[in-house]
Amino acid sequence: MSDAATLKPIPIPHDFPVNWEQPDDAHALWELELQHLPGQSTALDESLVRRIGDKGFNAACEDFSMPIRNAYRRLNTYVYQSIAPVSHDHAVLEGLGREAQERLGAAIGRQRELWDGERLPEIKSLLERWRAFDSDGATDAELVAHVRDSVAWCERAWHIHFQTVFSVLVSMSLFADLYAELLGDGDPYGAYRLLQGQDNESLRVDRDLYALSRVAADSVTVRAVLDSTRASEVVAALGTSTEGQAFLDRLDAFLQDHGRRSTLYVTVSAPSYIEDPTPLIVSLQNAITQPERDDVATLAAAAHDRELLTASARERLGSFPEPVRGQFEFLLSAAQQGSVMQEDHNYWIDTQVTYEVRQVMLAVGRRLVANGCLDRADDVFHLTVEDLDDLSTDRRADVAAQKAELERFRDVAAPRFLGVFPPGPGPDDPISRAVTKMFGGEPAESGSASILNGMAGSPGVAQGRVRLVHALADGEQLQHGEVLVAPTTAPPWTPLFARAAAIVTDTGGILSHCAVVAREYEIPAVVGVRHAMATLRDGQLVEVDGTSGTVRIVEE
Amino acid sequence: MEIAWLGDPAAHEPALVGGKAASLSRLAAAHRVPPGFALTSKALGLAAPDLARGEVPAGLHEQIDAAYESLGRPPVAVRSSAVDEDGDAHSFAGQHETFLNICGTDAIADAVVLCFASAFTQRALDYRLHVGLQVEHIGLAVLIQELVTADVSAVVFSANPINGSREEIVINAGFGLGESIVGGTTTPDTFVVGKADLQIRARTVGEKRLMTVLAPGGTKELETPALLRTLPCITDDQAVEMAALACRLEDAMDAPVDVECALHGDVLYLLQARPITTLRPENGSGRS
Repeated sequence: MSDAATLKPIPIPHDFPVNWEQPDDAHALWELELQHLPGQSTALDESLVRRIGDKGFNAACEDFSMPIRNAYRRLNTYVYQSIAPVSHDHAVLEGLGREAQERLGAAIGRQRELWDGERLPEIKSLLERWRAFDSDGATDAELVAHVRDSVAWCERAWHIHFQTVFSVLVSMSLFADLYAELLGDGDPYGAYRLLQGQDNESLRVDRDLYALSRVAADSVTVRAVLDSTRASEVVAALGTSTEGQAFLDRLDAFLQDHGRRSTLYVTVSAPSYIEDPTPLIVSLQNAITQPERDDVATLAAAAHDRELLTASARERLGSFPEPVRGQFEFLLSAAQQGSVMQEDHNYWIDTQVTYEVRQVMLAVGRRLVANGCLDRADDVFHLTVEDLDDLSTDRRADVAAQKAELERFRDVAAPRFLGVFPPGPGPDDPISRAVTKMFGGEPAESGSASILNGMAGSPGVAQGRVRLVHALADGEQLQHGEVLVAPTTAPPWTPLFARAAAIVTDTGGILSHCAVVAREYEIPAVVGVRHAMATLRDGQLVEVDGTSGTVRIVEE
Repeated sequence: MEIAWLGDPAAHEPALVGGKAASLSRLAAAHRVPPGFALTSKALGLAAPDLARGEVPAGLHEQIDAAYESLGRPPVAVRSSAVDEDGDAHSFAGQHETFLNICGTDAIADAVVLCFASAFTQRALDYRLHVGLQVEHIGLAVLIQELVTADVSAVVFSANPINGSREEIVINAGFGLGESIVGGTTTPDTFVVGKADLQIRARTVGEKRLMTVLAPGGTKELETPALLRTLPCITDDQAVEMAALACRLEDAMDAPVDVECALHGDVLYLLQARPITTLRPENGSGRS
């Protein structure tokens, strides 16, 4: 800390006063975590995110001896993240790095087996326990105990989440590095083409949604409602006709299967589609205008290409010593598993665990309303987990203060960085490289006002008009052939991809969800631009070059 | 006699097949030496005028083709084998050409011409003058051997070349073919094995920055993938197997030896064995 303490602090804007929670916080580098937690977060969001970081991320780091630790802080309602090395001693880091490589090496080759055999069954059993509990029938004491259980289960689920995610990221990153060393020809996607065309939960949900949109498109009545009604009013409008009601039954069936997602990743205060299907309606309105497509055939074609490319890679490696070929095969298999698990873990953990925890919290909110402690059930999201130990204290003043803080900082531009920048470049080990491929690195300055640099996300070049989409609910504004520009895209955004000419995000790297799915959809994507939302304007004509990771403004 | 097969008594004669081939031929009886044959010094002596012009005479070409056919036409290594090489006093290690991954009779014939020429390079002649060997009538044979497509190559010393200890076996090993190890272009993994008990005494993972791999009609040296550089290229069991091989060879040759060997899959091949000519005194008192 001593050398860090002497570094010059990053200037703090006047409208963003920072009171560090711990004295050492001022000496770390904090980055606004827009990729998974875009926008403001509530007190309860923070309470749970902190547990995700400490008991999830860091516990998995310890399992694998990874030389980094993560911390979250909510500063003026915005969540900041600090991922820092555990030591500044080069020798210590190197020793841990070797140990981590060994432990991760043992785990990544059997990550699918670990997921199918151990991790997913445990997650499913946790979900069962949540679903089996009758929150509204419980006494206050039982409900308080259930909140504690829920927090413990949540921590356990996120521990499994990061065990899974680290295996995913490291396997894909190591494979990409090895591929570049052995076969690289400057194509940043060479390695990823050998991972494409595999089915995953995100694609399955998208297919079910597309199938639902075909049902809607085939009904004149339903189509007319979707075409002419605001998304938030579609359900009510459909309820007025028999044909519309029949479609609502189909919609319910879809929600039963896939409705636990919200438009975000882990934000417990965000409603699920079951509670508010508006984002799903937006996706449907988008999908009915799309031309006929056959996702299964597209996937099969991508798989066929993958096999051809794999065969060609194997041929080029034919003269290499077996240990090299063996390493290639091992990492190819691990990365192919990882590529699928990158989406599947999200479906089961990010989505479903967040949903179940949210339901517990809403039940507590209803109880607090009944006990006269809150005005509205969803005010519970302005409390902390610790507050929920006691269901008889009036919390309305706390809630009002929290809401005032959210209001105060709603339109303030939260600075991207706080604290101090580290003295030198970050460590260059396999794990740090994997983390960078997830969160994105720092794009190089383009030196031109009309060019924005980001990270390569998905190959190809496309032109289109810019459409800034702050939240998925605004997605209905995206017109065919426009370039979708967003702070981040969680998996529920991906149905929009089919309508976009290209994707540009401010967050993420080549291993982010956005990049993984854009590659499956074969749509160019530039990710991790950092200031695309701030720089680009609706209607500008841009050329998105996903291969080089650049966005060029063609016409104002 | 133009052709002598490794393992046949005729190929035990250094005067006929050169020191290297004769040594391997004797070893082939008791060890796994890749099969091969020598073009004798007599045959090459008769062909010398043609070889000097860069041609292999038709008769010899046919003989090579027939022998190559018997070998099954695999990729081969073509090496020169001088008649006064591999004596206790004179090691020509690295002085003459070796051609790896040669495929087809014509390519072998070209390599034979180049082997012949390599014996007359200024560097080779200077060396001969330096160690007092004749330069007028150089007896040269050429060894043609099935190529071991090595996953790992190693040089094994049955005595420690650093401290002179006769009690330690030292193994230098790296990925791929042996050229990067033998040529010293890369830092190999080093294992030290006790001679008496065949226990691993020390294990140092070298950087192995470069590895030699097959390329069409030859080899190329490439960067070793970063991930593999940090891993030992052989297991302890494989190190012990190599050490045991060196012990047997030391017994057979009645002197400390340096051994080149290669692993293809789990099979260990003996590529070369010769007495160590530069070993310092056993007590290690000499200063270098």
